[in-house]
Amino acid sequence: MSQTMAVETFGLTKRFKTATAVNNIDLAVPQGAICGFLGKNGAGKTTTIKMLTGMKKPTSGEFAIMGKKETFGKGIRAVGYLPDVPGFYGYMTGWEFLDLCARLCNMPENERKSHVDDLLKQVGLDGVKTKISGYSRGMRQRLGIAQALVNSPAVVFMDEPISALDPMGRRDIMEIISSLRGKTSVVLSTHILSDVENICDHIIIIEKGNVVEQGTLAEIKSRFTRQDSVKITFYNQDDCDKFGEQIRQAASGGLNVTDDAMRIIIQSDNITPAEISKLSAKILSNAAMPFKGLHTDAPTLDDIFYEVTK
Amino acid sequence: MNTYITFIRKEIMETLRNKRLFVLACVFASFALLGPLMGRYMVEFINMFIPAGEMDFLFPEPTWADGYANFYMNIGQIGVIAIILLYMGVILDEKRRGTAPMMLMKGLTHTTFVMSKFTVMALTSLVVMMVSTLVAHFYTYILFDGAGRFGDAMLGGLVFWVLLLFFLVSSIFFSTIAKKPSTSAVFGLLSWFALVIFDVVQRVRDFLPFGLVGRAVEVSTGYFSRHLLANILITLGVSAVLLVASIHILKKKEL
Repeated sequence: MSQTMAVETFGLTKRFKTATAVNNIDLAVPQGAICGFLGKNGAGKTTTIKMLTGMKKPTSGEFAIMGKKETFGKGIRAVGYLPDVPGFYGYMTGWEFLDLCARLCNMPENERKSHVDDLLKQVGLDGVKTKISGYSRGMRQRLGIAQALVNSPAVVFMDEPISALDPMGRRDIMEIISSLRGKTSVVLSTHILSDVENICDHIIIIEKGNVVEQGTLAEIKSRFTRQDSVKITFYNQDDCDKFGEQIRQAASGGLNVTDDAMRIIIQSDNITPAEISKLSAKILSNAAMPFKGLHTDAPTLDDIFYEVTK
Repeated sequence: MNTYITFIRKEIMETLRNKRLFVLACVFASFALLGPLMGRYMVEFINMFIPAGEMDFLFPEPTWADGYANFYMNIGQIGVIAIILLYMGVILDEKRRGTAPMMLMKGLTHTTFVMSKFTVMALTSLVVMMVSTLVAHFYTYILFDGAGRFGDAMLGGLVFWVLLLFFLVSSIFFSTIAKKPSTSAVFGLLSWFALVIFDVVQRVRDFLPFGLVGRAVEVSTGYFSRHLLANILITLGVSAVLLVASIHILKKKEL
């Protein structure tokens, strides 16, 4: 018997007047996973999340949360949602805001106070008495996470929760998200791929409204390992372009050469990385071309993201 | 019912902490004092600039009814505009700030969301209206040595409150359909202006919400027009339709 997915979509589509934001996507997030939902700006991440949280009406297609088909306009009790810029009632304290959320969730009186206290402790806001209007960006994100968890949802959607935070704030929020592993399923939309690689066990990459990759991080990496690559980083773009041109000519089509901001990535199905390195070194030496580094490695999530969304 | 009471508590907190009640009370109380004062001394003030006897026929001796007339005329203009401006973003702000989706995802229904707002807006305006009517009544009494029956004065305040309800519901409606608070305010001000214009036409005045300004003055002086009930019922009916439409439109809107 197959496991019920935390989130599943079936041909989910959203068209606006002049554009298709989400195009017939089928995605699945297993229960308990922390799923990185990746895509460039405008790829359709926020629109997808808004459909899955019942805020936008799909043009066509269906979706299920914890195996239950959901529709637009009906409250979806099983989900929590943290928008990219969470809004609050600035005249309330964090405690008052969470208490309001808990009351709306019909939480029994005897559980509510301790639940709110626990949530504030979990996100590191316990003891903060100031009004929300006086909160920093990081504190607002923490409170946003707490409100998303107030009804103990089966799935929490977080839309770029760390994009505008400083490194310390980013680390704190990632730790909080990481602590949710096994307790609830998390769908995390972000641009910061190193963080995704650190805490996500499932990845979905969306490009121009289409799902272009999905699976566990290990599965996705294994699909790309046959293309171990050689990367050469240059000091300037001219050398990078010149080298790219020369290696393409030297290999006469046998290599897949891509350039990415003063870096050349060379892959091949039939030439080993060692041979590619040797050929590259020869070109660099003949042209006396300065370069920062040359290394061979398995693809990072960054490489895979670049590869599938280029 | 639980979520309705919970959200009403939130709305009351918002009204008190965001000083909406304070601003509204200040505006209405100011006119509760200014209205009777202008009614009592306006003629004397004008006469200071006009030679005695020249235009006496234009300005009869002021009576306590002028106190109420000035009070209701002023709040029918500045008071209503203050309400339109204070509540122009009542729904829109929650949508733009992102709090509406947060609350609706917690189990609050669209109907409860709108009705709790309406309830607190109605109660706030009722308190402000009755207190300012009380102030206007006593100040009229002090200035004119008479102010009619207390009960009539308070009933007059209630009649005017029905007009306020109409503008409160209009604010909810325009804030639901508009994309920006400024657009909502423009719609509100245009509807107010249109009603002021139509109020000039005697034949329709009796059946339009703005006719209640004159009705409130009449009731305060102890006169109950045969059109009073129709005027109130039509205003309440239109308000109810706008309220139901607001809920319906909000349900269909994407957040």
